[in-house]
Amino acid sequence: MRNVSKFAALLTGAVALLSFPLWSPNPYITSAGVVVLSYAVLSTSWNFVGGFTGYMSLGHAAWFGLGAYGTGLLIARAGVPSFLALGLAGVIVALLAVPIGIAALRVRGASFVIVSIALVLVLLLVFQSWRSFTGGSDGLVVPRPFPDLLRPEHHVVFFYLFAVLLAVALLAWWTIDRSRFGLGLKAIREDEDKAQSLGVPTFAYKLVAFVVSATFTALGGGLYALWFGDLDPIFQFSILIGSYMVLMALLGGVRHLFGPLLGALLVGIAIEYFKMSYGDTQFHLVATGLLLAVVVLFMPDGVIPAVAGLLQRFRPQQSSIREVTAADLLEQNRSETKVEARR
Amino acid sequence: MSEQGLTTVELTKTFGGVCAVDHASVAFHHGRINAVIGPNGSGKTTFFNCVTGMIRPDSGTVAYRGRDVTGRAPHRIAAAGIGRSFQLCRIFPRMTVRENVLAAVRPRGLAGLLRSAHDPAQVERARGWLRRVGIDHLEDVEARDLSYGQQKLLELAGVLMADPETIMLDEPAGGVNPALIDRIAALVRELNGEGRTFIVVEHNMELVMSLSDHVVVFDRGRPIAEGPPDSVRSDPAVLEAYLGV
Amino acid sequence: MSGSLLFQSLVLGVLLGGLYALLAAGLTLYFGVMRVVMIAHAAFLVLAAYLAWDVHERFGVDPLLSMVVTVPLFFVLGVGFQRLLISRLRPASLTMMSVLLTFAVALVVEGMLGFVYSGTQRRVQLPYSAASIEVLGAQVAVVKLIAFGLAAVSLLALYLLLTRSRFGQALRATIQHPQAARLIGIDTDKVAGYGFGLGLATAAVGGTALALDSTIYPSLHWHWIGPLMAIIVVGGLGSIPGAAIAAMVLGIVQSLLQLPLGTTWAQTVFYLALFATLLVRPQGFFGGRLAQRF
Repeated sequence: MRNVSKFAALLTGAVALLSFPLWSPNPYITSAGVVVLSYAVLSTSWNFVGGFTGYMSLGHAAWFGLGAYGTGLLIARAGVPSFLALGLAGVIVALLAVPIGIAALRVRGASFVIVSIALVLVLLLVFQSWRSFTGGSDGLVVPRPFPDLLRPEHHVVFFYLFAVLLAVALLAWWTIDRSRFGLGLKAIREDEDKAQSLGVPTFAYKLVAFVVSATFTALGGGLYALWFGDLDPIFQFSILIGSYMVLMALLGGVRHLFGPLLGALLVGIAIEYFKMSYGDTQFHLVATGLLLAVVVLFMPDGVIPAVAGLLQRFRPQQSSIREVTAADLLEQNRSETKVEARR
Repeated sequence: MSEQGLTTVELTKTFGGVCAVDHASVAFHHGRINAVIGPNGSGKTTFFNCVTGMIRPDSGTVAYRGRDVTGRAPHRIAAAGIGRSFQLCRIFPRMTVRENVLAAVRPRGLAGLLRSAHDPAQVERARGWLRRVGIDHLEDVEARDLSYGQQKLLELAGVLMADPETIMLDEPAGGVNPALIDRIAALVRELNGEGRTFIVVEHNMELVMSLSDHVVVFDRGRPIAEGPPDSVRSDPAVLEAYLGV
Repeated sequence: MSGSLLFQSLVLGVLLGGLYALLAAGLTLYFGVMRVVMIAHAAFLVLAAYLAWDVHERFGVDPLLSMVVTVPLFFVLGVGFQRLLISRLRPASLTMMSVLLTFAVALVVEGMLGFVYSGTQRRVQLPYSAASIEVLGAQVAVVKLIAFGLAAVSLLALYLLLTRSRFGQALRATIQHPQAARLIGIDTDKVAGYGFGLGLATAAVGGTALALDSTIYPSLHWHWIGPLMAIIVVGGLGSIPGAAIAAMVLGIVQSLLQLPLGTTWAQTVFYLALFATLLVRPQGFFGGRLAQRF
């Protein structure tokens, strides 16, 4: 019965989401929807590494930027057709992610976080300085793939394109989640050395997850470039976007398939709402920081377990697993000694 | 003893100024239950870590079944057929008991990697091991909610799931009640009867003397005596190491 | 490059290195006492710089005077931060969660700075801003010398505190082995709090030094945290001398590269050093017993 209701909920959600452009009141809101979907793609992509291996990358916008600029530069400088450029940029980033991953994954924990931040910062530096190639702070204009489309239709088309990319990312995440590869990754998250001693080739596994994550993030970036049409290093290699990815995944729950999507919906809608009501202020940073702090301190497992835990307090108390286990153990020991005495 | 088991030659590891393992040469008896004993600080765990790839030795070699496995990464040591448990029991706290054991499955090829982790055949095999160690009724419990003794059994089940030929146990009796020690000892004897080799680091002398066929005594980073339990028990060098006499 | 120009760059590099050394030492303190990577360190650095600028703007006094308020204030903030927030985190995931938490704090600080002072770039104008004196044949800006002087004095004070005082001994014990420290009666929680306070106090000094010579804006801290973190990884996490040496070396190299490559490209030397360290010796080059694969 639970499976049917779960499926029904999922279906309703999917329908509501996919029909959004139809009931959206105006094109501006539709474009906000595109932004929220793009956040969902990015946070889900981040979650391949953050959720499975527990390695937190705070500079994941590096891949977003590389995908965006890769696509943009291929179109603007080499005349490659739009979607071919997108695919090619994805391949290039995947190839780049291998040596970068090999270096970055040699360290763990906080060192890895430092390296991820350093990556996005150095890329920001390079892309800002290399004016002749990337356009630097003047920005890079990316020609639209469908130049004849009017703005509203443009937003609708890209809404569905992002939805497709999200679906592919979710499918990949789900496949890994239930697979032996995924179990190995989770073992790495729990206790990396123990996993290795049990036979899990931890470095290879981490690297694969890293490359997959980078690639999906880059594809999200490339699609964003095609949609938005204008790139600037400070917005593409952005620590803020990187922190959105982490915040959304953490808030929604990194251990769940739809966690990052949920986080993206909650945070993304809030961000877009604030942008519309108060304009682009520095307050984004403060709000993001405060929310991240709250999540880290009070609900590191995500909003759902936190809310469930809160509700549990108001329900009649059940005995916890711990109590059952201890009682069980006592029973067991008693029957054990009986068996031993008999021998 | 015609089969070559785990052998080390002149294995050495130094940390800063301390020589933890000092040119240790040991040939463990394949197919038997070997014990490694020695006073605290004699290098037993460091020796284990060097053999299983967690630490890279400074010099010397480790061979298993005639093949050189010196300095190989831990997962490749596991793939070679050597499993190990840890002194302070290590399990995957936020995974269920079942998942803890399933994590030991070594997938083959891309298809194997993408296959479901909860594939029925493997789940049955996992259940089999959980039944053997006696915690199959806790299958769905998260490992962090188990008692220490149960976690030790879980760790053992996981190690066994990887189907190792040689099993290295680091203080299996540490921190558990006598009934559980007996259960573990019985299991070790059973598994040895089925053809698995054991190398056990232990401080519990009663257990060592009753369980093992071959004892190696470590002191200051190297073996100082080896042989059947009775001969080692009365060896003057051993008494000196332990009692400082 | 001519000899005198080279020497000039060298001198500037040393001065810069001194400032890096002080800031990296602070960063190392947080890591040493609590295994916390304090990403917000640079944000507080910029905050201190803003406060120094503000004091100068509002009251017309020398920005150095702001240290009278900012150093003790930041010390108290540091202690408070450790006691109230860091200690709330679960020990198992402390390092990771603390990174996220301090990252969040950095965002909040940057946002508030932008909110209060707006994004306009600020610079302190002093009567001696443009003055320079001759040191061994090289022309050195007075403000840079003062900044170096501040850094050097603070580092010396830190060194004396750590090696000669009882508190310093307790701090070093807590860094080396918290359990053993507790066993001999050291209140490691209190010591950790003070360690944090000390770290943040160095940010106050560094920020004031920064204000003398640089243009400041809210997102400036990202230009500092990258190089600083690279320094402590290269130097070896947890080692103050290691951090100081790495800071000096990299500061000098950066300065030497500024002439041929320009300021922005010269900054990449930190990231290159970080990359090289990861490939060759992930635990860092100059010591740091704490730099295990944590």
